[in-house]
Formats: sequence, C-alpha cells, structure tokens
Amino acid sequence: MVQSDLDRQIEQLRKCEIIAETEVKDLCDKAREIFIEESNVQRVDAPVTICGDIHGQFYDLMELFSVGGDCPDTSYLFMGDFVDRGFYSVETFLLLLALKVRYPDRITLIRGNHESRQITQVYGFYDECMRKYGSSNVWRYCCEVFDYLSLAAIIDDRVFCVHGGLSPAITSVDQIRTIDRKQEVPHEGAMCDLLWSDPEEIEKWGISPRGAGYLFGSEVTQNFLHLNGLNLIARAHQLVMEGYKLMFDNQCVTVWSAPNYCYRCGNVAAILELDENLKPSYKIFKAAQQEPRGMPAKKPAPDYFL
Amino acid sequence: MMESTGMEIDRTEEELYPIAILIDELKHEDLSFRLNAITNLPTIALALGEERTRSELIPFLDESIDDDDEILLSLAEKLGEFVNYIGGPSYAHILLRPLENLAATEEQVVRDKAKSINKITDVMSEESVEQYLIPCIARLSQGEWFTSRSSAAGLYANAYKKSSSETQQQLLAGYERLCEDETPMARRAAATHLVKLIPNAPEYLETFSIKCFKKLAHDDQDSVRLLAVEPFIAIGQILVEKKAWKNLSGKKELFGEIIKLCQDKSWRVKYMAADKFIKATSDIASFQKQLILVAERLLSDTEAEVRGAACTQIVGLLELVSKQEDSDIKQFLIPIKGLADDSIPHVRSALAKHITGLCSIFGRESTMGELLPIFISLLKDQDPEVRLNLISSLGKVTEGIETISHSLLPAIIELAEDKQWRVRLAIIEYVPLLAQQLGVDFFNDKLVTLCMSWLGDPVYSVREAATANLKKLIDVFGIGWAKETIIPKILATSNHPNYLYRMTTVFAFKAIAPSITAQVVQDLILPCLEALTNDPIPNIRFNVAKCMWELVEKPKQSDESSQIQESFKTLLHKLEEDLDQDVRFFASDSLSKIENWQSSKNMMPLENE
Amino acid sequence: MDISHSPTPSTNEDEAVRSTNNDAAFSRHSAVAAGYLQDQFIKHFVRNSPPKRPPLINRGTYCRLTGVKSILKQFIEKTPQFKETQIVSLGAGYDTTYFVLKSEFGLSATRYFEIDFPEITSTKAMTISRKRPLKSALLQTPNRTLAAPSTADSIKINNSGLDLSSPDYYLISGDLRHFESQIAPKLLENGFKTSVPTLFLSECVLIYLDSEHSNAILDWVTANMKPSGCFAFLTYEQINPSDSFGQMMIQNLRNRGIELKGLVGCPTLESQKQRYVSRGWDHAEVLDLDQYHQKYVSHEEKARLTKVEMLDEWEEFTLLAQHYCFTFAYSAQNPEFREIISDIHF
Repeated sequence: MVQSDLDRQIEQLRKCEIIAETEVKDLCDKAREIFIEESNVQRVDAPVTICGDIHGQFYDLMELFSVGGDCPDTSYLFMGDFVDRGFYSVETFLLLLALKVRYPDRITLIRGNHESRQITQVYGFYDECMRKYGSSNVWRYCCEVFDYLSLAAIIDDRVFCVHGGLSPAITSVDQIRTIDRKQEVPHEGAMCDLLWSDPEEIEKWGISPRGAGYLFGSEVTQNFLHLNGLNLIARAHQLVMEGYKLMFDNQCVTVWSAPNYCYRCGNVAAILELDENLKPSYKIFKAAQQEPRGMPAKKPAPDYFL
Repeated sequence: MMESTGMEIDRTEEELYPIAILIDELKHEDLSFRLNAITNLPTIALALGEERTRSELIPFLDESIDDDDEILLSLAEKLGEFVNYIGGPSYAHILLRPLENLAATEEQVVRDKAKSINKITDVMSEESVEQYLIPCIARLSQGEWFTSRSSAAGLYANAYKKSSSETQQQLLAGYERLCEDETPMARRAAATHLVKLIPNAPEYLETFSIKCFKKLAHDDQDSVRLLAVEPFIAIGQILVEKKAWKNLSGKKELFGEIIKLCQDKSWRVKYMAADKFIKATSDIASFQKQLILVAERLLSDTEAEVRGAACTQIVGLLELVSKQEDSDIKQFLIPIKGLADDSIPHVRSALAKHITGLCSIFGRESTMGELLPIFISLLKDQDPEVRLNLISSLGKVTEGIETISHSLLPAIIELAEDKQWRVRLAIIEYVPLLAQQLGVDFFNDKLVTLCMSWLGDPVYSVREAATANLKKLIDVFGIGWAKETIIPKILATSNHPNYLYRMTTVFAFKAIAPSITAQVVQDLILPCLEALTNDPIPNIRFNVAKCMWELVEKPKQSDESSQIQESFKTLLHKLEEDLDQDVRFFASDSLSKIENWQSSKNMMPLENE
Repeated sequence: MDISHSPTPSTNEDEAVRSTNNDAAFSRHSAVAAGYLQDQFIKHFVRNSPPKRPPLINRGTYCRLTGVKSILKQFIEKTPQFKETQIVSLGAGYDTTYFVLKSEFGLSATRYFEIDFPEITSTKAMTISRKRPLKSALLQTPNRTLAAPSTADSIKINNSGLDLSSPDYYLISGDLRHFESQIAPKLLENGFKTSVPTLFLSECVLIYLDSEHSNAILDWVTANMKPSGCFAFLTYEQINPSDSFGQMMIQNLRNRGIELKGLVGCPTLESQKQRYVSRGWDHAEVLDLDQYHQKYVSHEEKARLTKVEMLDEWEEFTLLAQHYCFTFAYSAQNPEFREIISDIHF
C-alpha cells in the first residue's frame, strides 16, 4: 500500500467516513502482516497512554485524542473492545487499524473479548458492517485481523496490560507466550480468561457471572506481579462510572475509555498516561458534546424500558 | 380472481407467463418477492395492455391487499402513477377503488401515499370527479375508523376545485364535520389540510374558513389548537389580498382568537401562535400593533422554554419593535433585567449569548446606562456557560468595553481555571479579541501569566489552543513584544520531565512560525531545537523534524534564512539515521520539502524580493 | 422567529409519550422473537420490520413481563375465590397481556379493561378487529361464568372507532389526567363495578403524569373501590433519577420529548411504597428490576436465558435494572379477601 493512500484513508476515517471495501481488504492484509510479527505479550516502551474499551463510540474516541493528544504525537496502547455497542464500530476499528499500519511503533492494539466472531454477531459490529457495506465481507476481514491481535502487553517490563485479567491456568508471563493465539476466542482456557476475567475483592479465584473467565483476587494478583517482576496490572473490560478504578492496594487498575457508555450510562471515561519514568497520571473525560453536522442526523436514541 | 376472468382461449404461453409469475410472486412467502412484484407492476401492465390492466390487474390488486406495510406503501406509490397504463385520464377513476382502501389502512405512511388520489384528481374530468371521486370522499369521510376520515381531509382541496358549486357546498359541509370529528386524529388532519382549502374557497371566508378556524382554536386538545394557527395566517392573507380587513365585521373577535392562542395554557400552542404571528406581522400590516404586546409577554412568559427561545430571538424581536411608530424600546428593559436574573440557567445563558446584539439598537447612551450593568451581572453569573456566552459575544459591544474590564478579568480568570476543559478551551479562543480591545498594558499586567499557564494544561487540546493563541497575540502586539515576553517562556518549557509537555514547546514553535522572523528562529529557537533532536523520546524527535520545515517555510525571510536552512538540513540528515522509523520518515520528509522549496526559490529568484 | 432549536411544538409532549407505546411493543416483540418468552399476539401490533433489541434490553424486558405476568396470573388464579375479578390496565398501549392471559388461563370470570389515549385505542381497536387471530382470541368462551354485559358474544366498536368492547375485554379511550371526570364514568358505562375485587396495572404510565394527576388516580381508587372488599395496584416504572445514570436517562428521554414528571414525587423504592402506605393501604412491596432478576428468576431459567442470548454486559444491566422497579400494593376491607390476596407475591 502506498503511504499517501494510507494517509488519505486516515484523514477520511478521522472524519468518520468509511473507506472502500477493497481498501479495507488491503488494510486488513497489511495489518495482519504486522500483527503476525508481534508476540502474544507485546513489549511496549514508556512513555505511553493506556486506553480501555472504546466500543464504536467514534466521537468519544476523537474526544480521547483531544485530551491525550493525536496519534502518532502521543503513543497509545488500546486494551481491546474497539467494536460493538456504539454506532461507529467500523470507523473506529478501521481508524485504529490504519494508524497501526501507518505508525506501528506508536500504537499498540491488544485483543478484547468483543474482538470475536461470535460476540460481534450479537452486539452490533456484524450488523453495522452489513448496513454500511451491504455484505459481510468487511466484517470477515476484520475478524481475521482479530485473530492476530496480541493478547497482552508489557510496558518497560513493569506494567502488565490485558483486556480482562488473570487466569488460574497462568502463573508466569512466559506461559502466555506459548499460547497459539491465532484463533477465535475459545470458551474456556487461558486465552479466554485473559480476555474475560474480572478483579474482585476476594483473595483467590471466584466464578464469573459472565459465564466465561474468572474472578481474580488480591492474593493471586500480588503473586502474579511478584513472580513476574511487575508493578501493576492495567486492564479494561468493566464499566467504571468514574473512568478508572484502582484495586488491591494500587496493584490493579481498570481503565474505561467509553464515556456515557452506550449513550446511556452517564459515566465519565479515563485514560492513563505513563510518562518516561512510568509515573502515572489519569485524565478524565466526558462524552463528546454533539456529532458534527453532516453526520447521520438521527442516531437512534438509546433504549430504555418504556 | 384474475385466472378466471376474461380468459381467452387462444392466449399463448408467453402472454400468460408474466401474469402467472406476478401472481406467484404476489403470494410468495418472502417479502422481497412480493415487493419485487409490485415494483414490476408497470412492466406487467404494459404486457397485459390497457384493457386487461383495467379489468383484471387492478381488481386483482384491490382484492389481494397485502398485510405488509412495505408492500402497501409501494403499491400506493405505484398506483398514483398508473393512469397511463390503464388508458389515460378517462379511466383514472378505476384507480380510486384500491387507493380508497389504502387510504383507510392503519399505517400512516401508507395513508399518506394513498393521497396520490390527489394526483389522479388532477387529470380527471369534472364529470368523473362528480361521479366517482365525490362519493369516494364521502365514503372515506364517514368511514368507521379515524384512518379513513383523516385521509379524507387531505382530498377535499383538490376535489373542490373541480366541483360544481352545489357540490362545493356539500364538500364544505363535510369538511366542517371533520373539524368536529370525535377523534382528535381526524380533527388534526382537518386542521392541517384546512390551509389548502381556504384559498380555494375565498368566497366562503366567513361562513366556512373563519368558522372552521374558530372550531379548531377552541378544541379541547392542544395538539389540535396548535394546528389552528396556520389556517389563521391563511385567512389573514386572503383578507389582505381582498383588502377586506377593514370591512370584516368580526375583525376584533378574530384578533381576540389569535391573541388568546398566544396566551394558551399549553406552552406549545402559545409558542407556535406567537412564532407564526410574528412571522406574519412583517407581511400583514394590520397585525403589527398586536406585536408589541405579544413580544413583551413572550419575554416574561411563565414557561422557561418560551423565555429561552424568546432570548435567542431578542435582537430580531426588538428590531421589529423599534421600527414601529411611537414604540418605546426602553419598556423592554424591565423584562430583560428579569431574564438576566432568571432562575433557569439556560434562559440566562441564551440571553448572555444574544444580549450584546442589542447595543446597536439601544444606542450609546442606553448601552452605557442600562445594558452594561446587565452585562456585568451576567459576567458574575454562577453558571460558567452564561459567563462564557457573554464573553464570546463581547465583539458586538461597541461602546464602553473599558468600563467593564474590571469585571471582565475575574470572570476570565475563573473560567481559565474551570475544571471543564471545554470551558478553558473556549475562553482561550476569546483572549486575542480581548487583547485587542483591552490593550497591551492591561494584557502584560494581567493576562500574560495566564496565557503561558495554559501551555502546561493537562489536556492536550487546551495546550494546542494555547499555542495558537500565542500566534494571534504576536499578531496583535508585535514581534518585539514576543521576544521579550513569550518566547523566553516557551523555551523554558523544553526542560519539562514529561514528553507531552516538551511536545508543547515544539508545537508552540510551529504555531508561531508564520508570525515571527527568520532572525528570531536563528537567535532563539534553533539552539533549543538542536537540543531537542537528542531527546530520548522519538515522538519529540520526529516532531522536531516536522517543525523544522515549518520554520523554514513560514517565517518572514531575511538574511538569516539560508543559514537556518543549512543548519536544519544538517540536523535532519542526522535524524535520517535515527533508530526510530517514524523519526527517519519525518526527517526525510522535511528534508525533501526544504530541498524542493530551495530549488523552486532558486528558479524564481525574483518572486520573493 | 426560529424555533428549531427548542422542542418543536408540533411534536407535542403527549405524542412523545404515546411513542413510548411503540417502544414497549418493539421491546416485547424483540424478546419474543429472540425466544425469551412466548406471545403469539404481539406480532400483530408491530409493523414494518420491528428492530432487534440488544440482549441487555431483551433480558430486562423479560424481567418486566414475567414480573407483571406472575402477579396477574396469581390474581386470576384467585378469581374463583373472589367469585369475580377485574383488571384495569392504565395506559395499556399495544400491550398483549390480556390476549396472552386469555389464551393461557381463559379468564372465565375476569373483566379486563384497558385505557389509553384515543390515538392508541383507535389503532388497537382497528388492529384487533382486522386480525383474525386477535379477534378469535377475544371471543373464546371457556366455561364462561360472567354474564355478558348487554350484548351477545361479539365485538362492538364504539365512539367512532375509539373504543371497543367484547364480553370480557374493554378498550376505553381517554386522558388519564382527567380520571375522575372522564375515565371513571366511561369505565362504569362499560360495566366496570366498584364492587368487584380489582387489580390496577400501570407499566411506565403514572411516571409520565404530574404527581397531581397520578395522586388523583390513586385517591379515586382509594375512595371508590372500598365496596369491592379488595383492590390492588401493580406498577412498573423508573426510579433513582439523581445518580449519573439517572440523570442521563432523564436527559436522553427529554431529547425525545419525554418528561418523567412523576419521578420527582416518587424517586426511590421507599417513596414508591409510601404512595400506598400513606393512603392507608394494607400492604405494599417494592423491588427493583435487578433484585427481581436476582431473586425471582430461577437458576435454571437464567441458564436457559443465557442460551437464548449470552449477556455480557452485567455492569450495565445492573445499572439499568436498578432504575426500574415493581410495586405491588393492596387494600382489603373484606378479611376473607385479605387472606386470599395476601398470598400473592413476586
């Protein structure tokens, strides 16, 4: 792909306009070539800004960039769940993907539980692709990319980033490196747990109400950090009304980057800026005010029971 | 059914084919097949010929009315364009039957489309209107369900034009009954379509139009009263055209009705009435005296929605009033002061956004004496949006800005520290304008520190706006001022321990580039940039590379220019060897831009003299 | 004057409230189509390819409908003990509960009254009389013990198509803001009796009324239903307006022109309960939708629902469900009846 084409596609996607199906195909091919070289646990250098779930809330992603700075000027790590639920999953994911292809060293994308064929068919991304492209091709291309996304990342050997959390099947980071990740998210096992688990105020492990993954407690967190020489687990996956939530004596943080989630929850969002010395600072932001003119004026109102 | 009617023995297979397919498709389980069949109706009609279309296809369609709204919608649409397939206008009435059925369905969009009866009416002869359409309208008007009665209302105006005077009387009587239908839905339809009927029946203005208007204006449902306003305007227009206002016996009463609507217990009715009324006043001179009354009431309305909306229109409203003879615009000061103290923030906010537009209407003396105190009270409002709105519209204040500067500063400082970054961002954008109005001394004294503190804001967009702000300030106060006050402060930020803030240094250079000289680049900026080419963070290094091109292209050229270019090129060559691919890319990119730029300069040496 | 930025007067407030009826019908249809519940009737009331709701909304709709149905079912099952009963659904919209109950339990001695705006009742009446499955469901007569009011077993369309009556089902048009002057007389005209044990049902209806008007309804019921010996109220509506989810809910609905006017006067579970307690009713129980889901949806049923559609968004479900509540309250003057009705619980 020619760089200028890519730059043009990025410009177009930044305006929340979709790119042609053939361009999506090329982009996804190129992205796969990059992801295939990345490890299951991708190494990332500080400084970097860590982001949680986006869920197709494109204009809120623009708000995120307004607060945190544009890519590539600011380096980013997105911890999955780019798609589903919001109205602009296609534009959101393709923009992040195009930035990845254009600036692979400035942006890291890891997999969330929504980056899955099964989940996207229920939660909106599939329908959105059908609506915007008239066929499932774009959805298929994207799903193929999903299978290549890293499962986790480690910043400067100190901060472990993952979408969901820990797995009882995993004690060391090296075990994660041995997973064959290039597949649909399984219903159980280490790979599933990394994408589905949640921290809970318990000590060891608990059953997750989600029906996948586990609840992991303070003791297992501390052991995992200690054994692997880490300071912090940064994860996403759970809506937190205040944007971020520290647990287990600041050893685990949930970062949530979809403000007013589903245009309904009234929550604020956060990003976590780690500077060159891994000094954290959280930036809180609210939902984008209004969608600019020229966009589909009537987005469906969020559902309530009326 | 079609298969059994008028079959001719010698019909060929080929002829049968489309009809057989059509019937199959129209009965198909899959919606898309049925929809497709409807879309292809014209083709099928052509294949059948006009006569069989009339005698077989249309009755068939009528009998097999589908359940699905999408089909019905499409059918209603197609039938409206079907006159030519059934043999032209003289057979147009044949289409009425199926459309009449469609006009009674549950779904509003289908009923709306079925009003294509009107299109058919246009091509029908007067005889067939009397013979077929009038009975059709009568049936619909007396239909069991509100749906048919509502649809009927939309058919009167066109039918009226083509009817004998006797029938016209009947139509008007029928319409009047619709205006008092038991269901509000039919009454709303009657109110909506009355506007079209009124101009067709000017001779029955008092006995029909005004009568119907009054019925609707007195309806117990506000949704119906709301729709009475438009007919009133239509009536007014006819009176103006006929120059009949003066002789109208019930003129006072008629005005009374509209004023009553302007004071309706439902704010929506009230608002709609006032809105339409004010629009109409510019056309209809006789209304104008009522205007001031209505305008004053709007500004002190009991409903916040109405007051807020009135605020957004306050300039236009008072402009209209000020054009009236013997009107005193000052009588509006009391309601305006009331609005500035309104208990609802969005009302005050709307006022703050528009009130400065009144300066030109009130003139110097009243502005200084009456409006400025209101501005100051809005500047001290507890809601940041109110303050911001006023500051953002200060450009329209032509007189006495210096009088309010002492109130302005605390307001600005407070907004500059607001916890909402959008508010901080907004205030930055107004600073250059204020700088211009307030002058350099006041600025150096009070605002420079503030402007520089924005460069260290935690939010990227605020920092970015702060850099753009610096450029605009240099444009206002000059390069000498910049060298003394702000550039040293920018340079100091390049030592920040966090790369995001060192980035601001680079961005600030980029932003001010068009407003500085090559000498400033050489003396002050170059050393700083050179140091930053060794920054440990690649993001800084590639932004330095990008910035260098801007600093070549944008500043005013001077003797130092070529020396700067060479220094930058040396640095960029070094960055081309960087370990980071993005640094290498942007270094080469800037380098080639500079080189291209140099060679084009050399080819056209005279251009920039 | 330009009014485009203010709520448009032409889409009036009542119209917005009426539009919630379509929402409810779509949600019900969506949950039925996905397999959460059975309802063969709702499809007749949704037109033009109704939207699919996300799993979260389907799960909530399931809770809402099963919660309401469970109380109604128990009430109907007690009917032989009461001899005769009545159900009055306020702001019923296109609710198909009557049809479902009728087809499942026969409603041999229960009269069912539905009240709504004329815009709604007329369309509903038209749909019922045009759709054979609805019509025949209406005319089923399983071991009828109710004497038909005046006519034989037939469907009558009244008031220029605004109202409909059948042997045990009555669709009545009117404005709930004028309950005493408009609705009550029409109810009585249609054979409603203040002497028969009655359950009043309001699903997201009182919430749209000013407290003044909803209080007037409760006052009327309290004052006039004593001869029945036993009357009850079941509501389902929004609560908790003051947290950030609640604030956003209010704002989003306001953008649609819908004001939750009743929320100010009744913002919490406790205040929902007080509505009845303060009027001297014997019993009032409240629970939010989240509690209902936790306590009253069995483990097996939850497992079945998860198979119907996997629900991933538990934080959001909890948040949403905590903003809706059921209230069931009764007042029983007849001690025998009190015994009977005190059996009814979620």
